[in-house]
Amino acid sequence: MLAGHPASYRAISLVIVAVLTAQAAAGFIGTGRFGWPIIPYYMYIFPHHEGDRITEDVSVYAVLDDGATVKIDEADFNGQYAVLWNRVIAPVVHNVPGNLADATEFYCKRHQDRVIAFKVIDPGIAVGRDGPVYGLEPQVIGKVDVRCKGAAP
Amino acid sequence: MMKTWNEYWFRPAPYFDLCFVRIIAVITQLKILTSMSEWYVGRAQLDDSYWNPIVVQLFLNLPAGWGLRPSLEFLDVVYYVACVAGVLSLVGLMTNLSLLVFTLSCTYLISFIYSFGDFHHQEAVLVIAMGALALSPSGRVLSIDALLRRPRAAGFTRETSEFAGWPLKLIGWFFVLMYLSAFYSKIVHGGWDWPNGYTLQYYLIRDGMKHGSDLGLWLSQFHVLVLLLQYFTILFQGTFALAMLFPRTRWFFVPVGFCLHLGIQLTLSAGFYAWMAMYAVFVPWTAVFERLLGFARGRTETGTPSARATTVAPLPRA
Repeated sequence: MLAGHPASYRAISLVIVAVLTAQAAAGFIGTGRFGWPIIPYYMYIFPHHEGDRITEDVSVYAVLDDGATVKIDEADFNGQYAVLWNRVIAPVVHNVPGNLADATEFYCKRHQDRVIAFKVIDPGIAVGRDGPVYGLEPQVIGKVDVRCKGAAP
Repeated sequence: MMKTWNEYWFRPAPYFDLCFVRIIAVITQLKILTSMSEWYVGRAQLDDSYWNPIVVQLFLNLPAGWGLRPSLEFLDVVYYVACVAGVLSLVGLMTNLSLLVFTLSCTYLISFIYSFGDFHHQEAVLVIAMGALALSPSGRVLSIDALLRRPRAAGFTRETSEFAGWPLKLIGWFFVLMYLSAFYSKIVHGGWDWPNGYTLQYYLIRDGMKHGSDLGLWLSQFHVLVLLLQYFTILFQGTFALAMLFPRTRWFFVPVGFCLHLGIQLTLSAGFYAWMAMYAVFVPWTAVFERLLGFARGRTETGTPSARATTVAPLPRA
C-alpha cells in the first residue's frame, strides 16, 4: 500500500495539513455545527455567578388568548428534548422570536389560532456558594409574544 | 523544511501501535452505533421544517440530489452496512476498504442526526481517527488480512513502517487543537471571570439535575475545590500541546486527561468516552505489550540493562 514514497508522502501530508488547518480555523473562528466533523469545542463557556438561576428542569407553556396556559413538553417532538430545546426553550429564553416560527405554526394549529405567547418558568433553584439553593419563587425567565396566522386582527 | 516535516510525520513506527488503536477505535464506534438507531429513527420522524442539513450530509446525499432528505428505510440500510463494515474492520478483513465504508456510513448517520439543529462534541475525533486509519496500514497486524498474508507475523510484532505513525500523530495534534479551542472559547467568551468557582458549580447543578447525577450535585457544594478544578481545567487545556512537543510529559497529561474526562462523565454526564478511548493514540502499545510479555515470561527483572533496552521500547517520540 502507498508505494512510491514521495507521492505518498505528499498525498498524506496534504491530508494532514487540510485536517489540522481546518480544525484550527473552526476551533478559533467558531464555525458552528455545519462543518462537522470539523467543529469548535465551545463547551461550558459562559461564566456564572452566585445567585444565577438554574435553567434546567424548566417548565414551558403556550399562553392562550384567554390567559390560560398549556404545558409543552418533548412528547410533542417525538420525545426529543433537544428539539424542544432548540425549537421552543432556547428561542424564548434568548428572546429570538424568529426561531419560534415552526413552533408557533404547530401550536396555533393545535389550539385553533389562540396562542399569543410562549413562556419559560424556572424551577426556583439558584447557585450558591455551598451548592444549590432550593425553594425560591419560580420566575419567568423568558416570554415571547407570537401571533397566529389565522388569529383575528 | 520538507525534510524535517517528513522526518517527523514519516518516522518509522510500530505497526502494532497503529493496529491496536484501530481495534479500540472500531469497538468504540460500534458501541456508539448501537445507540444510534434510536436517534436517527426519532429524527427521521420529525417534520421537514426541522430539516437543516449540515455540509457533510449534503455532500453525501449529492448523488441523489442536492438538499435531499433520506428516508428511514435508506437510513436503516446505511445502519446495517455500518454494522457489517464495523465488524469487518474490527476483525481486519479487507481492513482498509471496510474501515472506509464504516467511516463513511457512520459519518452519514451522525451527520443526519446533526441535521436537525443540535450537535455534540464526542464523535468528531473518532470519525477523523477512523478516516486516517482507513488510509494507513492499520490492518497489517492483528487482523485476518495479516493472518492470510503471513500467519506467523499476524499478532505481536516489532515491525515498523514510515506509514504507521502519522495517523496517531494526526489525532494527537487534533486533540491539541480541540483543547486549544476549548481553552480559547472560555477565555474569549467567558473572560478571566470564567474560573470563579460559581461557573462550574452552576453546570454541576444544572447537569446534575438534568441527568440525575448525585455526584455532580454533591461536588457543587465545595466552592473552593470547584474553583481549583476550573483553574486546573483551563491550565490543562491550554498546555496540552506539551504532550505532543515533549512526549515524556504524556506520563502526566494522558492519565490526568483520562481522569478529567472520567470525572466529567461521572459528574456532568457529558459523554466523552470516545475521547477517552482515543487517548489510546498516546500509549506506546508495543512497549506495553513487550513489558506484559516480559512479565508473563518472568524475565523482566532478570534482564541486564542492555537486554532490557532492547525489549522495552521508549515512549513514542514526537
